[in-house]
Amino acid sequence: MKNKTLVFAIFFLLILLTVIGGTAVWGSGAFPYISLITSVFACVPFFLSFEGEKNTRRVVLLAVTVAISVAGRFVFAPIQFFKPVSAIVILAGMYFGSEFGFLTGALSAVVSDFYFGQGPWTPFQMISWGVIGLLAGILSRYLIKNKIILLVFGALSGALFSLIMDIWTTLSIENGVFNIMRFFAAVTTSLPVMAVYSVSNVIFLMILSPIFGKKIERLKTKYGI
Amino acid sequence: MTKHLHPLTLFLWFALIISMCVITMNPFCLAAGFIGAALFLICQKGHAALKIIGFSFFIVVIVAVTNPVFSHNGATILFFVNDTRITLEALIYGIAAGVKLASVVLWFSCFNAVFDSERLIYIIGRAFPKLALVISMSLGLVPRMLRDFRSINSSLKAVEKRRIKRHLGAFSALFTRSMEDAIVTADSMRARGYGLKGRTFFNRFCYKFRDVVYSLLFIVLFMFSVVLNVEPEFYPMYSCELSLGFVCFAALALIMTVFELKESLKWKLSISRI
Amino acid sequence: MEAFNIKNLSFKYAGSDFCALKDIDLNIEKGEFVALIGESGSSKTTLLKLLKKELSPKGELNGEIFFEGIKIKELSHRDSAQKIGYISQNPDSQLVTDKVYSELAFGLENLGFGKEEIRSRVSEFASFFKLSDCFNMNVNDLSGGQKQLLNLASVMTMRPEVLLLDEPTSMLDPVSAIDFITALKRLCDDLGTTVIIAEHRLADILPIADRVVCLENGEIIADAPPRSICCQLKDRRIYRTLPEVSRLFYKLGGEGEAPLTIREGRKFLYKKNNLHINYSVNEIKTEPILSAKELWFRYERKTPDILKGVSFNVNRGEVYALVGANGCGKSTLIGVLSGRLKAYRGKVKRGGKIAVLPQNPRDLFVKDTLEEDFKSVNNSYTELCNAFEIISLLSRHPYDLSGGELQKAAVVKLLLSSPSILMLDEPTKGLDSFAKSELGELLGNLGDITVLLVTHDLEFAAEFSDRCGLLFDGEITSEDNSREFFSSNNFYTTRVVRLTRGIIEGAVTEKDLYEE
Repeated sequence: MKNKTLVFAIFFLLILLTVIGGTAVWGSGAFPYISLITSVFACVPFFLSFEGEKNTRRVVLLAVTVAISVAGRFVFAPIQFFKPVSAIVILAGMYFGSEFGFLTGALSAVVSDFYFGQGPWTPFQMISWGVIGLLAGILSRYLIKNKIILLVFGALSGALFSLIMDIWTTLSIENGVFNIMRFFAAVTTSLPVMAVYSVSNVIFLMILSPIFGKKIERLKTKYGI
Repeated sequence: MTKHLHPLTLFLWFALIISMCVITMNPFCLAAGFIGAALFLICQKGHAALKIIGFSFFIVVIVAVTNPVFSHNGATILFFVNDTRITLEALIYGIAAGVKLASVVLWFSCFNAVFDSERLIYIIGRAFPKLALVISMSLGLVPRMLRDFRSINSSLKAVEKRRIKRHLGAFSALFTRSMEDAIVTADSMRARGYGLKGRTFFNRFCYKFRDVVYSLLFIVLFMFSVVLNVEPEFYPMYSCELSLGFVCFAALALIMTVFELKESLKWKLSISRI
Repeated sequence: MEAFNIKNLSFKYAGSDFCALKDIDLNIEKGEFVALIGESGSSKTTLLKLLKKELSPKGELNGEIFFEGIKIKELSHRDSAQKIGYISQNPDSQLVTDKVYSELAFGLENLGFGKEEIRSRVSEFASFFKLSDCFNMNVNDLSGGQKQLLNLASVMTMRPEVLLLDEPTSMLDPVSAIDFITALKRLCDDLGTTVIIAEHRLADILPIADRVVCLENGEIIADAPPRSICCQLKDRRIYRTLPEVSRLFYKLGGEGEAPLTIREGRKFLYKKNNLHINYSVNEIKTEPILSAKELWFRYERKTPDILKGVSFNVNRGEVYALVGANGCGKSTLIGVLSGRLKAYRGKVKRGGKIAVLPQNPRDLFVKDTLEEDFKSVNNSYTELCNAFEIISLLSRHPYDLSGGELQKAAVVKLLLSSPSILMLDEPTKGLDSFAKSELGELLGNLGDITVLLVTHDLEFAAEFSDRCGLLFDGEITSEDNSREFFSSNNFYTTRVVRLTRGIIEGAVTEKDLYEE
């Protein structure tokens, strides 16, 4: 556990250094790109700690949850922006712990971008879905107990996801100089998308959470995961 | 040619080019990066590349047009819109920033075209072998799940007529099935010795002398293009000069395309001799 | 030398009072090919899993299992992984990675082999199993049979001493199943690997086995070479699942070692001159309920036609079997007839509601218990459940049922939506002979409901259908009532027809043949 804290601390420092150093050397113009590298760095401690995972079933389970969320993206593709990814990431974090949640989120981004195209947005998707899973894991006690909190959390995380992506878009178009006017412009144009994200999260969580909860209980008793 | 190089060498190439595109605001370098990416993409994907290149032009236009609206620096005033100055410098800056973003996007597409799952998993697996395995498993599972989803969905047609409800039912059945099957997969992994100490990572790539040479070449070109590069002034007046840095960067951005073209030319010649 | 030495083994699953295995004593010599037979529920899988340390189920175990003189429990993970290979039923879920080459390398990576060694072993086994052409492919682009061969190959790359196989062909169609068994035989002949295989395709496996061990309710009831096993099992329930050739041999007064192949069986029949045929013919139904006229279908504009002018009628109340080789378009035809796919030319007339049983009956179940699933269709399910004898399973999770139970439950679920036509796609896949005949009889007693089944299983079609059609290259090339259909075909017909052709005409199933 001590080891883990140390790793996290080191990477936190690294991130800070990248941001400060990068901005100092290249000026604020490189900010969107520095933040890109930062997002990758932020995932590393989680990846490293996963390398120590001893339970084969958890390894497979991670692969399956990631695949499910990506497959869900395809299955519901006809309805635009209506994707179950965040909902599944939240459920994974809730039932299998925060690290598992983070990994589900981050890897879902990587794997789904194998099909939808890797791009500068991939690291941001990784970090935003990852953080959603992480938070769900941390708050799992409340989320499992209270459905209202879960749904609110789902709606907020939908908004958060779209917000983070918007910030990046604005920053990269603006080439690093954060312009509040433009940010508001970007947010307003993406409000409908944000709303759809939140609503779809709520719908998916409403339908999937009781089913998944039961199914995961069954697996826990049958196979002792 | 490109695909014969070791993934690490290729990865280095992409990383250096994208870094340079990110670091510089020099319009000549950015143009070299943009054109290099476009040519390379055409080499790799043929006609399919044109759509992506079209999209990248769209990015350039959007950024170029919006920048002068929000930013009013610059000495040369072009015209006024509702009392807002539109300056030439802001426009040039917008074009440069747009080209920069577009070339990063394009280089990522090039990266996608060259790095298939095997290469990417190799790169990830060097650092995180377990994670690479998970990605490889997921990539195997996704098409299987989609096939299962289709078959479950069509089986349910007889008993459930409402489309959305059927979709959701099928999706949840898919979840259950995948979880059950995961246990079998885990067993199959354990049965084949997964979890033993000293696991190796098999790959079909071979790091050759050629890779060393190319890597050194890439690094040298990159260093020169950074050191010799001259950053332009945008405000209040735009000024920029051509430098040796630009030449080095252009060489770095075009090198693989040139090799590809040379090879396909050779191939065509050898066919015409037959 | 002994590979396995099992002494006085008994086993109870955790939380169960019931003995899954009782007093098992078994020695398996190195290089032996042992077929493990028994009805489903006879604990074949449990026995096999106990032989593989990593898969041993939790529970109370008495007695000892030795592998090469070492107790299984004390075997290191490395030795167990390398020396004992295990293949289970489902070809899909055993696959780990996304590419064929990486799947082949998986075990060797775990054992820590170097790149060169892995490369050479992987290419060697890929060519042995004829997988070289798909070496670079995604595993999902392989057929089910190829996938199972890949599973076998990726275990074999580790050069195990012993291979344990748990019904490896039960999810495959008959053609791939025979391919798999042939590959397995070639492997044993060439490498001398010890094999223990649980199988229900006895007609295919017995001729190549050295020894057959039969389990009933967790006990060994017979252990003998394949030619003598039939004789020992005469009074047991399992007898009816043994190969027709052997059973006919005893039925017609043969004594001693039983024949196992058609050739041996014919040699025996040539000596007989007092054979008779006796059978009853079902009444022919004539009122068409489903008719197809000139159906043409292709999946995409540029792909070749799958159906090329299919025309036929199915009559009310009959059981119609559509047979044909792999990839001849049987499942596609079901899709078009049921309305899931649209033919681009031709017409389908449906005289009633259609329900389709998919190849994988698991597809039909979405709830956590059978009861919930049935309730979601129709509340009056008790009567049907009684008729199908699945009333005791209502509280179970659908995925915990055996293949036969699940198949029956799936038919019940479909019948609850009160269809007038029931279509079944490969209903006998993964069923043992008991479950098959049970299902066959149920299908025959559905009264007014018409049954259309597509199958590879000619014995099943011959025994339980009224009429048969052969789909070949997208067309129905021959059609007749089942008896005529099978007796007129030469190769594509039941084993009994092949056995008796030229000796006595008209016998289609084993029941038809008598001695006077």
